Amino acid sequence: MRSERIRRVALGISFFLISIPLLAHHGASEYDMTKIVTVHGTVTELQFVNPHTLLTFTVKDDSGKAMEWQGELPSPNLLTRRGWSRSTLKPGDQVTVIGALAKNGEKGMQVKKLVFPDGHELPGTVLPPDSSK
Amino acid sequence: MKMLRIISLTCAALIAFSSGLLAQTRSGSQKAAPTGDLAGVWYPSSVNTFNFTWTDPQGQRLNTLPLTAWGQEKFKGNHPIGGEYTALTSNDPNFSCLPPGVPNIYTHAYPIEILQVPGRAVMLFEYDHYVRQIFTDGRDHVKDANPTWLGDSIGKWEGDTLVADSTGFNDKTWLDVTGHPHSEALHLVERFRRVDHDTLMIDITIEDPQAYTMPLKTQRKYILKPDWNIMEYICEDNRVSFLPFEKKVGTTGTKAADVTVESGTSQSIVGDWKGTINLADGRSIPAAASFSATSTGAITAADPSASINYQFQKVAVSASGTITAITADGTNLVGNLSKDRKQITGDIILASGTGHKISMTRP
Repeated sequence: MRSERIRRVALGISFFLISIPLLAHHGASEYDMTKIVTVHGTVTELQFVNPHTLLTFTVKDDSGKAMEWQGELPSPNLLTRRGWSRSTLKPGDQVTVIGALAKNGEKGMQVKKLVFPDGHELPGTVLPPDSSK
Repeated sequence: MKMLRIISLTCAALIAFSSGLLAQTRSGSQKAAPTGDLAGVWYPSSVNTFNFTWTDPQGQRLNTLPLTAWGQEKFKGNHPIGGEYTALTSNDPNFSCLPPGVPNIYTHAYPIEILQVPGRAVMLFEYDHYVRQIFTDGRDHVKDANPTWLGDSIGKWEGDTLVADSTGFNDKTWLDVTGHPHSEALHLVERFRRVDHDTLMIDITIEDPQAYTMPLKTQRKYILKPDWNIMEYICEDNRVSFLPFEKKVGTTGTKAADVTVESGTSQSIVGDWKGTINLADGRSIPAAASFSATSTGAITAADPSASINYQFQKVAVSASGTITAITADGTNLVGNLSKDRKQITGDIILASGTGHKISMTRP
């Protein structure tokens, strides 16, 4: 089967002491912005629905046991304007998900960035590149 | 009668908007700003902070708002997210999909389309599709208006500035995202002005003697998006599907996560880098970066138009190349190291909320 597993990727400790401007309608309080992790998973569902997009994916641990993870993303409207569509992620797609972990230890995160097997990247909850003026 | 008229005008605006008849097409930041024309799709600039930065009438920044006793009592009962409150436990009306009201709606990261037709300016808010009308036909405020979420707005042109005067608000909305209250006595004055062709500034003044001991001022900046349309956005849409996830991550708990979080090191980016920094205001200037093996670093730029000097700590690079760092005053670096380790790209996220983009290579 697929070889995706949680990789214990060394990741930076980063203190997002401030809210990301204009994006954190909610959510900033649920995540520990000092715990940004990278996991490799297989997409099972993308709910491309306002006001928040929800990505569900499975990740295998070292023993091969599959675990279901979920990641929160901004609204489809904001993502569409950054190049996403509802078929950007389809069930079965392999994807590396970088995000801030839920404070309570559940398998949930605020997605910061997605990296596809070909190296292509898509931003998640980062600064909107289309308003930098 | 008034309600019927508003409803019919609302429908007319929405029909026009959905059929694309009023789509705006403009481009070019060099063009002069047209006088008396605010029409277009406007997106919040990244220089806007998450919450309003309030000042007194003289422009002095207020870290604590001058609440009256009534205001303090109301403020105590408002529980914004952050600290001990999450979207599940906060009583922010936004989380119940209630209208944010004005000016709070300007804190939302969604575009606004302004339509100008004879006698009024119409604001179509993408965020939950609110329609607001500012009547410019010389009428007065509605007498003894029944309080509403968006209030009653009349406006007049002063040169190139549309001055909107609004009263008749209900007191169910918060003034801002940190839960500052307002009463039904809220009096809002907004000055809309295109400072250049592509930039709309909204100078906001509120007076609410029941809640505050002095008038308060703030400002929002919007950027013209000539090729954009307002998209559909329904707050209620996701209440069904998103709520279980909200409950999963939003409840308190301290169990260990199922993924190991380890500290990265700065080893792979140690040394000097050169490149450019694209400032939040659109300027691009030469910049340099330097990182040490002890997880510190700096990004600097010496340019007549801007002085940049960020001293980073906790510099870390993950195995996949994600770079994170932070300054003493809370400015974040979130970047990426290319696979060949020769290029760094990323964002500098300032404490103010402003973002700069960097692109660096080994000299």
